[in-house]
Amino acid sequence: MRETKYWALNLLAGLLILVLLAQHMAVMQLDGWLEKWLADWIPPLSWPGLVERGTNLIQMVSYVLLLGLGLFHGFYGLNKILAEFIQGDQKRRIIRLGCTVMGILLFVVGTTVTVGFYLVNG
Amino acid sequence: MTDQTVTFRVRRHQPGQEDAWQEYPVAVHPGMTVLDGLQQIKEQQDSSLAWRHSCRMGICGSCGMVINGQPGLACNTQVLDISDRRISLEPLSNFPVARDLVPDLEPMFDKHRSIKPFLIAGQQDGDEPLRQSPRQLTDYLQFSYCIKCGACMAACPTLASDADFLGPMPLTAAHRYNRDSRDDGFDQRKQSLGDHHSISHCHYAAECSKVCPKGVDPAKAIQYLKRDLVLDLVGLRRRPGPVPQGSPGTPRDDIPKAPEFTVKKP
Ligand code: SF4
Ligand code: FES
Repeated sequence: MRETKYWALNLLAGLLILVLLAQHMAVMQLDGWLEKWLADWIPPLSWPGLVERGTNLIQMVSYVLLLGLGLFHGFYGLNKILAEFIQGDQKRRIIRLGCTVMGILLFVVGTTVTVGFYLVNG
Repeated sequence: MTDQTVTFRVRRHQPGQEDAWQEYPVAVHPGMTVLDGLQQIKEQQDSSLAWRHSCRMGICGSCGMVINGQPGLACNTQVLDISDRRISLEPLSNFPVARDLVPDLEPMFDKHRSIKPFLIAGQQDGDEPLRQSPRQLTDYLQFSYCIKCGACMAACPTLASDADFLGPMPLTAAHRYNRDSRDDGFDQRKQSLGDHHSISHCHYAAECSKVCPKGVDPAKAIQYLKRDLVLDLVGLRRRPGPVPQGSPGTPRDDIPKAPEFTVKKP
């Protein structure tokens, strides 16, 4: 049953990633278009643009969420793919543990940078 | 149409020995099945060739084998429908082999047993018959046509990489019973269905549905199972019941009466 939960969460993560990624892409890629509509528009790749996003609470939370969901979705998938090539529950457990540790580690690093930036510059 | 000769290439397996291919020329005629061809080889050329069969009419599911790379039933495959003049025959993949074309189906039946393939009674009253409407029957009818031939198991790429994966046949059986309005065993089955070697491992190659000789469509059953498990997780799964109440209906008068018992009940 635990596996069903992870799998359902993986589906949900996929859907949420679509939404968050769409928002991220809109901010980063549609800059020329947004410029026409937003009075106080700052180019996203400039330093002030980065600081603006990094110090915005909603933006910061959405980036941490995107990071967490992306890592879960990616490592869950990677674990499933690797499990196809490996025989034996013991080895599969090691792969699963490896994927979990890598995911948590990358999440901690990414969150430290994002939250740290927000706290220091916000 | 005159007889033609087709070469049967059979993968021979003897326990403890290397597998070897052996060829047999077989005179074939229209209407001849692969099973007939094997029978002819056994009678006229090589009595040591082993395979399993029983009904000869696509019902018992015992003559499953890989025919020209595709799992199927030997009794259900017309030799002249195969355009090739050479027919290769191998035991079902993803199964241990007992001898020649005889797979050991035990692992499949162990998995089948693990999903509790029987009606698990719920809250019905004691001796009340379990009624079902024609609409409720259609919910699972297609999935009840399975003859346990194992062709889908042999075609499944997930089973090829994970021998513990439940596989299309047991999963289809689980769905067949889960969708039955007379059954109340979903909660008991979901433990093994939610396991790491179960439905979440299926990535919908759908080869099982392509090879099934009975049109069961195991891939569809697995997608329904996935949906049911997720809906159950969020408390939205719809139970297939309730059992229809009221009159059982008037029997048609054009149906002959059953004969009397020749031995009277005391
Ligand atoms: S689902 Fe089809 S292929 Fe699979 S065991 Fe049943 S009848 Fe055979
Ligand atoms: S012999 Fe029974 S299905 Fe082929």
